Amino acid sequence: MDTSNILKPSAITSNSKIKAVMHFLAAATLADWVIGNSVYVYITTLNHRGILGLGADFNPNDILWGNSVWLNILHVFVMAFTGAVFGLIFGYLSRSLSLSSRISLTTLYVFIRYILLIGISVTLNTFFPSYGSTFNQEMGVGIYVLFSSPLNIAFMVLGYGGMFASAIISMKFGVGIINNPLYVIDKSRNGTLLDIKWYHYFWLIFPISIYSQILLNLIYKVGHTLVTLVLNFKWYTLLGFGEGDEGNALDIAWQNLLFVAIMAGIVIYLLDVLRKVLSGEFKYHWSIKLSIALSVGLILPILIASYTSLTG
Amino acid sequence: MGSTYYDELGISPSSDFSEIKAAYRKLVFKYHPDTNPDYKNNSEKIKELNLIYSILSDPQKRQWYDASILEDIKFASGEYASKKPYVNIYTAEVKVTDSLDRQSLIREGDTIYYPVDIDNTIITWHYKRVEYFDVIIKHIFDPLKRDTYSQVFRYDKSRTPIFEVYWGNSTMIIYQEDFKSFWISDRSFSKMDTKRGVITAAIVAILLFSAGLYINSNFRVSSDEREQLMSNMSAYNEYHEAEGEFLRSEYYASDIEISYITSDYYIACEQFITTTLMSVGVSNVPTDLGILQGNIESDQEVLVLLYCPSLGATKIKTGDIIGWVPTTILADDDCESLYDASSDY
Repeated sequence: MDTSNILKPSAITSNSKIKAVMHFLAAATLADWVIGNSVYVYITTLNHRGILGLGADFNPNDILWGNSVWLNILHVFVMAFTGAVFGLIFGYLSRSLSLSSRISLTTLYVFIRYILLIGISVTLNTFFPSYGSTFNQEMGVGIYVLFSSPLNIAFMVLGYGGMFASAIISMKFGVGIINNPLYVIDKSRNGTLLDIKWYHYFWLIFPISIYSQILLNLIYKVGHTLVTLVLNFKWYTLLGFGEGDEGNALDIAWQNLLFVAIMAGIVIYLLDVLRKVLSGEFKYHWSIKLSIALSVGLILPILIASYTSLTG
Repeated sequence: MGSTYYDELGISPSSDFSEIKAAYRKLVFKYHPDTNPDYKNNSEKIKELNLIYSILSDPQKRQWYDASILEDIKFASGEYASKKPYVNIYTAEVKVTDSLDRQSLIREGDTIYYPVDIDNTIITWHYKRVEYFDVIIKHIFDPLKRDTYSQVFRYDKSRTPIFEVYWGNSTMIIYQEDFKSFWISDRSFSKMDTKRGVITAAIVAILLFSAGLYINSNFRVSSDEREQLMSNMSAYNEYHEAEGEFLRSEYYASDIEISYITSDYYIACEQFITTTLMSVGVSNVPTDLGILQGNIESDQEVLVLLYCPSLGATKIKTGDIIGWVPTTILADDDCESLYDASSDY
């Protein structure tokens, strides 16, 4: 018997604990592994291109990004962005969230590394005391070095505080995205994000990471072109005076930007096609859908990553 | 017209409390995860049954529910079909009192909440917790047009309708009497939610503070080790400061480049002069992602300063132009490292 008309409320404020845990894991995975990882890979690429100056040993997961104030400010923004993505997805999946859930689960998300660290320490101290003291000693040295500078402490507080605040704020927006009171009675939408079933996201990590890097590269190229334009544009040619002959920097910058912009347009189109194929909006034969999914989701990203510089 | 709660329990609308209870218990037993793990979504089913039972087992709620389905049946049979609305009976906002005795201004599109006791089980521990079902208000009935309601819509005339809310794939009428007895306004819910949120925040703060205390007491570094660490750090900084000064003055190295040289990503070459094989733009970084510093012509003499093996770029100086070019455009690309570590390359 169809019972969809019987349980009629549009949502409940306290979903079951198992559902909350599943939403939390999905949101944290998508924010950290899919979106956050793309940003970190691109930052690493920029560093390896000699732009950021963070040295060869740089790891984007480090709490501090070198001694540079600007890069640490950038890191604070990246952390806040990751927190915002987590909050948005978690709110979207949960549909309705109490303030208690927002606070407790965001704390868990932001401080999960430290919670795990303390968990390992307690476990080792309880069952393997000798390993435990070595572990504590090594962690102690790391933490002492980390806290040796007030600037480090300030950036840590800003980073984690920003992440926490942006997650809490964006959850509100996430909850409000589906402003349709009839949404939850459509049971075919259970366990979906952008109408794509949750299990597809395990393999979508790869194409999303590649395509996100292309989009990040576009953002960088826009900045790069603007700076090159300002530095190299021959303003006097506007007044009719002689023409400069060293405009190739400008030309290269424009060409780069144009090329990446066209590619970004194609990428957005392809991602939309992929979404429609996976969500079932395209009613093709399964073999055609499988071919499109494989070409757009796997083959094309592999070719882009291997043979082009579109990802930076 | 969809199934009723009675259909769902498999009983007739005239069933008494004992029959409702028996049907409910039978179905809960049937769908309970402990007795029948094969059923998919059985926890959702149990929740549905709990909700239905919470309404049908309460005489007042049952009376309210019966009235609503009776009106639904009349509506479906076309009894009201000829009655067309000719006046707007709705208003944008209204002040009402909810079940917590709190008066609030409610607008169209606001959410209102209905608390339901839900049975929960953790292994063998059974407990009840309150869940708040929420519905969104589609229309608010204008209290000043009470006399015209009967001409335009179906409702229980013994009570005062106040809201029409989205209810599954149709709508439902909520009466003022029921709202006052069972429902909670958004404002009341927010206050309750904020209160719980503050308590959670306090608990979280205490836990974080305890974690900080644990880290402080267990991850301690002895005073000898601290001194050693500080001395190592200052020696490292002094060494790199001196090295940095040298690289700045002799290799025109920026702070960014110094960080790559000290981490062996760039090699500081034994400086030598070579010529270019073609004209090329000189960038401030070893790739075309940087800013152009100028152009150099073919067959031009350049001083080789730094080399980046992984990007195949070399930093050169010629006249006022200092920057990076592809190593392949240099006639001689044999960079000997200034430091002993050069043998690694």
